[in-house]
Amino acid sequence: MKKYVSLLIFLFIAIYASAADLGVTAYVNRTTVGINDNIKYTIEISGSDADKIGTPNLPKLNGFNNQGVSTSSSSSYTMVNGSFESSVTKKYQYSLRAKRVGKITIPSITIKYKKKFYKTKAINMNVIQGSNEPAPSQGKKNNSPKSSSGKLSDNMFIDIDISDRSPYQNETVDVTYTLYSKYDVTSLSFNEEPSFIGFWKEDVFTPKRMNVQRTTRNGEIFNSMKLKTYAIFPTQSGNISVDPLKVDVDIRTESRNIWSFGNTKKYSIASNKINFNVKELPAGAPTNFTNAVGRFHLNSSISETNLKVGDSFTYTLEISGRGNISNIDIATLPEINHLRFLDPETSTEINSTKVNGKKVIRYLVVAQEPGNFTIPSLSFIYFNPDKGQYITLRSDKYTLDVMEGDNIYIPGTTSQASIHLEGSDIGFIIEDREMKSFVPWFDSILYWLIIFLIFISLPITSMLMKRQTQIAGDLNYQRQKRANRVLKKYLKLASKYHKSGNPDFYSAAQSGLENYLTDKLKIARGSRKDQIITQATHLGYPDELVDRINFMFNRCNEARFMPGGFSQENIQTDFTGLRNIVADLAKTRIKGK
Amino acid sequence: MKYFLIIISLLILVSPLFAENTDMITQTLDNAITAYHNKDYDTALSSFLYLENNNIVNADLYYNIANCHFRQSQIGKAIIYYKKALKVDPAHTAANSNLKFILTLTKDKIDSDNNGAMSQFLLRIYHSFDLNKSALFTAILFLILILLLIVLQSVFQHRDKSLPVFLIFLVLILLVISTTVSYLKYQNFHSAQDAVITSQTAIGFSGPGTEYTRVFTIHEGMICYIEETNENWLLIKLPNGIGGWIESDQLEIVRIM
Repeated sequence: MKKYVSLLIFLFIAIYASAADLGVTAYVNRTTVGINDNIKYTIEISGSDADKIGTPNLPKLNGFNNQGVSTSSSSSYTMVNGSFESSVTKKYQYSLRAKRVGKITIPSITIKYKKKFYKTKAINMNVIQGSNEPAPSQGKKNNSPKSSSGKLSDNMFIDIDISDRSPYQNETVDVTYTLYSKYDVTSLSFNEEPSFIGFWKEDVFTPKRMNVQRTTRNGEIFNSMKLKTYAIFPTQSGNISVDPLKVDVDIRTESRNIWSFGNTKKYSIASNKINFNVKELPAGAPTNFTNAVGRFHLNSSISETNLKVGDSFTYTLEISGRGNISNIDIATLPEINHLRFLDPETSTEINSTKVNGKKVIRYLVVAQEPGNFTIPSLSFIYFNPDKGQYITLRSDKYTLDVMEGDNIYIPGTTSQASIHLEGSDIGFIIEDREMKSFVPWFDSILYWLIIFLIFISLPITSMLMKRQTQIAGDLNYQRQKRANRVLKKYLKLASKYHKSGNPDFYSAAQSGLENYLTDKLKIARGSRKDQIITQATHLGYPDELVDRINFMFNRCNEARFMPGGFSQENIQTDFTGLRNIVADLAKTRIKGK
Repeated sequence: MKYFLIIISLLILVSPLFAENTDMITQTLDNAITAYHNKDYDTALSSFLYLENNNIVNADLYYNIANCHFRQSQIGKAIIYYKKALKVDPAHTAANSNLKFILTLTKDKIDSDNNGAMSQFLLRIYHSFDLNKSALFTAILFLILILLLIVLQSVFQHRDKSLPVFLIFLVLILLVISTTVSYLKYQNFHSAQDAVITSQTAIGFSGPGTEYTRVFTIHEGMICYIEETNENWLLIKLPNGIGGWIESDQLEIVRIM
C-alpha cells in the first residue's frame, strides 16, 4: 500500500434523493491508519426526512473503540421544475481507535426507516504500527495534484468497461470509456478516438457537455465522467487490438492566495489498449442465417383481417432486442396474388442508454380482389451467443377475408394516362329531313309583343273593373239602359198581338210605353199617366210627341175598358202610331242628365 | 277579340321570315345524307354548309357538319361545330358525347374544371334546356304573375291577401331566376368569345406580335376564350388560366351566323 492514502472516502452520496427515499452512506477519512490514530467514521443520511431519524446505533465493532459521536446537519433547498424541494443531510461522525494491527473491517450498518432498510457498505481498514496521520499542512490541500499523493496515473485515469473480451463474430460488444479524476476537471477535449479496425462500430453515447459526477471506486471518491460508449460488432475472427482513446483535460489548481481563483493545467491522458479474442461462429448455420447475432424477439401484427376490395391494411414485423439490429435482414414476403404489397417502410431504433433497439418493417397492402388469403409465417434465424446456438423465430400466420367492396382497385402506375378509347367512334349523322331553323324568341317581335300584351292586360283589366264597379253603383243609368230592352220586349209582344188582331195589343203597348218612360224619365215605376206626361214635357220631349203619347195612353185605356170595341183596322192604325212613337222616342234626347 | 285579331295578323306578318323553302332544304339534305352514306364527305359537307349559309340555324345541322369535318380529320373544325350545336341545343346528347370523345383525341389535354357536386348539378340543369324553353318559361311565369295580380285586385279585394301575396312573391322570385337564366343563355347564344384552334400548332406570345416572347404552344382542337382583339392578333385565355396572344387565322370563333 502506498504511504499516502486518500484522505476522504465517500461511499455514496445520493444526489437526487427523493422526498421519501433516504440516502445512507458511511465512509472513513482514511483506510490506512496507525494504531494510535483517530479514525473518523462518518454515517451520512440525506433526504427530506433525514431529520426524523435518530442517531444510528453503532453495532459492536470488533477491533475498534468507539470514543464518541458528533452530529452536524446541513439543509439545501432546490427549485426543480417549479416545485420546491428541501433536502437535509445529517452527518454522524464517530471517533474510532483501532485496538490492534492488521486488516479490520468496519461492518455494514443498517438503518430502518418507514419499513425500509438502508444499508451502508462495509469498509476494510488497514491498521499499521505507528502513526499514519498526515501532516496538518498537507491534509487541507487534498485537491491539488501537487500536494496530493504520488503518480498522476493513480489520481486520474480512463477506465474501460467492456462487456465481453472474447465475443463471437457479429456479437454486440459495449465499450464504455470513463474518466476518473481526483482533481477538478474544468474542460475536456478528445484528442484521438479509437478507430476499431476489424469492427463495425456505432456511437451510442457521446457527452454533449461536461457532466462530472462524484463516484466511488474501490472505496475512494473520484470525479468521474463518462466519455464514450460504443457498440462494436467484430467483423472478423481472431485477435484484434483496439487503439487507446486519448483526451486532453484541464485541471484547476489550488489558488495560492485569496485574491486569485487558481490556474488551470492541461494534461493528456490515454486509455489502455484493448485486446479482443473474437471467436468464429460455430459451424452448422442454417441456410437462411443472415449474420444476426444477439438476443432477439420477433413480433408481427396486422391492422385488419376483414377487408373489402380496395381497402388497405398494414402488416408489421418487429425485431427487437440486443444485437446487430441495424444490419440484419428479414426474409421478404413472397408475392401473393391479388394482394399488392407496397414497398415496405423500415425503421431502426437504437436505444442510446442501453445498447438495444428494434427494427420495424411495415408493409402497406392493398386488397385487389375478394377471397381468402394467407400471409405466411416468416422465419428469422439468429445466433444466440449466450446459448451458443442458432435459434429460429417464426412470425404469426394471418388469414385475410376480403369481400366485395364499393371501391374498385385501379392498378397504380407512375403517371396517370388518359383513358384510351379503342373501337369507339363518333355517333352517326342525324338524318332528319326537316331542319327547322332555330330562332331565339328573344330576337322575335312576336315574343316581345306577347309579353307586352300580357303586361298591358293588367292596367286594362283594372280599368275595366273600375268601370264595372261604377256601373254597379249607378242604378238610374242601369234603368235607362234597361228601358230600351223593356220597350223592345213589349213592342215585340204588341206586334204579335197586332198580327193576330188580338185586343191584348193595347195592354202590351201600354205596359211597354209606361215601363220605358218611367225608366227613361227616372221616375218611380207605376207612376200615374199624368205624372209621366208632365215629366216628359218637363224634360223637353217635343209637345207633338207628348200629345201622341197621351193619345196612345188614352186609346189603350179605352181599349181596356171597352173590350171588343176595336176593329182590326183600329189596331192596325194604333200599331203604326206606336211604332212612330217608339221611333221618335229613340231619336229624342232628353235633357237634365 | 280585338287583341286576338292583332296577334294573328302580326303572326301572319312575321311568319314569312321563318318560312324557308322547305323543298330546297329537303332536297339538299337528301343529297348530303346520301353522300355521307357513300363516304363522300366532301360533297356532304358542302351540301350541309350550303344550308348553313342559307341562314338555317339548327343543332342537328351543325352536328352533321361536325361529323363531316371529323371524318376528314379536321378536329378543330369539328369541335367548333359540336360547340355550335350545343349552343343551339345544350341538351343535344349526340353532340355532347361526340365532343367528349373528340376531345380525347386532341394533343393537349384539356382539364375540365372539377366543380363541386352542387354546382355540377346546377350546371346540368342549366344545360338541360335551350334558350327558347327558358324564354317560354319566362313568359309563362310573367303571365301567371299578371294573372295573380289581377286576381288579387278583383277577387281578393276585400279578403285576406296573404295567400296571393305569397304566391306572387314566389312567382316573382322564379321570374327573376328564369329571366337571369334566359339572359345568360341569350348572351351565350350571341357571344363570340369561345374559339378553337384550327391550325396544327399555334404559338402564344406575350404580346400582339412575333417579336414578343413565347408563352405556350398549343395544338389543334384546343378550346380557348377570346379576351381582347388587336388587329389580327387575339388575346386568348386557356382553360387552365394561361393567357397569350395568337394570330387570328390560327383559330376559329364559335359563333352562330
